[in-house]
Amino acid sequence: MVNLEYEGLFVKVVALLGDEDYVRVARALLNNPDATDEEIASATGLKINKVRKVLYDLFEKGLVIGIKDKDEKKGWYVYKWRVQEENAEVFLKRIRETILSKLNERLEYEKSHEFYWCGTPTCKKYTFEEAIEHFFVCPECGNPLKQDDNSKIISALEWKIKQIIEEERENDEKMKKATAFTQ
Amino acid sequence: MKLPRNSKEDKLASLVYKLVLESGEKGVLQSELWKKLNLTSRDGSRIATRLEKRKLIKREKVLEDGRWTYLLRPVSMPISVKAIMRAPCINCPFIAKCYPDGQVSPRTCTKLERWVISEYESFLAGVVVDEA
Repeated sequence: MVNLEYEGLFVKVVALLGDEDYVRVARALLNNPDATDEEIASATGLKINKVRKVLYDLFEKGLVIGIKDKDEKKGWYVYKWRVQEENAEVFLKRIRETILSKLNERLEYEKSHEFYWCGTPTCKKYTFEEAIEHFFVCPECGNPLKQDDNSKIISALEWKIKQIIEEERENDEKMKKATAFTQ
Repeated sequence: MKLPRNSKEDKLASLVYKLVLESGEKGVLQSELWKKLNLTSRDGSRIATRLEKRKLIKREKVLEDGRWTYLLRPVSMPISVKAIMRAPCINCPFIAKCYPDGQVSPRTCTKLERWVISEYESFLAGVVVDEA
């Protein structure tokens, strides 16, 4: 695994989306602005189809743009890829908001319901109302549904929400500090 | 056009960025940094230029003991994404259909539950989660 601690925002955002190959493509794009897919493949050592897959994914998410250009030697059109670093910040903010909203929704649901479960890992948990409908018998495996303690998931959700908010606050402070350095 | 493979330089660039960050507001002289890292001036300058292009550091020309060199200062601090690393929502193909009363819902999503629980358990066990 690559260490990303001392990397810029763009590489970190790309790392959220995929594996190590994504990181290699991101670094190659930053080191070689306006490179073609073939050039990125040669810079990263990755297969061209893998490079294209990563580029199309990043393009879909607005993190890179492809500029159509005519290859004078070969006579055909090629795409030159350019990083949209300014979009990475917006993208990260949006992802954080999405994850936070899902976690908050789940937390509220867990706190406001009692759950019943048969204990089989592959079977779902039922709310009290759903368990009544099934006469407290799991419709999937037939085992009795017993009250499930959800205090662990509640604690985990509360911790994760706090961690994400705290991280965002620290990032904002770092950005302010960096701005102060340059003034 | 064939481009050189540069994974070794990427690692070195991360190290240089780390040292520049550690120098803080006062910055660090490029010449001192290359001595510390045992780099030639040519290789070091290439890395510094790369970091400057990425807008991670700033190079300021300064006169030091009668010789021109560059002072390297951080422009951007490394932000952290640890808290959301490996979150299933990031690459979830159903994210557009995920809402409280939907067929896919954060209320019942097992992937979300597994991620939060495993992260929490790692935290309780004192395991440091890398950004990788």
